[in-house]
Amino acid sequence: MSKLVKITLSLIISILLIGVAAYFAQQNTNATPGSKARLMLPKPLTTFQLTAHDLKPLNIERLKGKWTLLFFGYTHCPDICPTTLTELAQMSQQLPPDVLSNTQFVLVSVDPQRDSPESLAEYVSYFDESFLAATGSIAALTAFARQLDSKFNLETNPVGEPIVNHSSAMLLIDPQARYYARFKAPHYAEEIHTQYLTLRNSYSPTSP
Amino acid sequence: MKFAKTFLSVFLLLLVSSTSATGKLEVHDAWVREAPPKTNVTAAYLTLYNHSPRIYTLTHFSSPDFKRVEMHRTEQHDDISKMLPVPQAILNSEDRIVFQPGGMHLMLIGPKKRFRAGDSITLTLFFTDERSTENSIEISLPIKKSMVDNNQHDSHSHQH
Repeated sequence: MSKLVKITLSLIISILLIGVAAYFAQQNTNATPGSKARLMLPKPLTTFQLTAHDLKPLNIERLKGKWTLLFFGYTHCPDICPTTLTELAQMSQQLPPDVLSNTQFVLVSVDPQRDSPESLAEYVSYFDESFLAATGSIAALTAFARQLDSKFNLETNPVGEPIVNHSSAMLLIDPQARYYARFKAPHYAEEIHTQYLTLRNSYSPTSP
Repeated sequence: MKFAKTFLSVFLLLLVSSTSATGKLEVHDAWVREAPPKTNVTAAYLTLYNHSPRIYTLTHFSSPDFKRVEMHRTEQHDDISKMLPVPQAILNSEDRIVFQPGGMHLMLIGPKKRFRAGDSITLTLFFTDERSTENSIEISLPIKKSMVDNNQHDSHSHQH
């Protein structure tokens, strides 16, 4: 093949790909609340194991049968984490009882050095006694975060204190333990509330 | 929006230490988040207005109630939330600086005791004017469970 043909071909393919991407992006922005947060294909989670605040494992089994709203954070976070937890607590109070009864809220701490399951228990129950928290080894946390297209990293400030950077999106996991939707920060109670209920209402367990 | 709802206009004492500061600086909507258990950090929020013809530079903060106070900014970048130190902030004439959840905030580190909603703490803001003259303002901020929590004892959060 001549060089020119190769270039032309790759150009055509690129343009086609961009077109396809643009088409799906367009579809995705047709805004019923929550629709743009939903993944095109729910992604089944694979085995993971973290330790929950109650010292029991947080694993796939524990995500099944309930909707889970989960986000990454840490307790030595002065601003975003308590703000988000306050909004979530407010949102959970406004959920209809039947929805609330099969919804769980999970804070996953990516700062296992400072956050033990016991201290996490006290921390999250300050916001709402039904909230769950979990943490684990850095390796387990990294693998789990990756399943949810999330990440974190730990740095040290000049005084030698850890700085934790983490994904700020809120993840929605469906009752089949499939990663189902992703809400971008900032998180406001009313918005999450509307998006979550809309996604639940249009949910069919058998189809994506 | 949220901020419009909260008009807790905190009355403050302007204790400008230098007589050269002729202008008016005003602090509004000041509050400190009650630190949840198991953490030794929290954040202070406020809006600082400059109704003077001068340009001020906020340089640092201190509080007798905390070991350290740092000016920070929470930044969202590529879905990653980062807390960045802010060495100083310029406050132009007839302008304002907003410290609010998810943005600029004052990180309070190492409380001298466990502060609870309903308590208040003291904070000193240090700033310089164009001539590098140092001034300070001392303010008192209420501890609250959240920004909208005007009645500290009627909160959804649990009292232990």
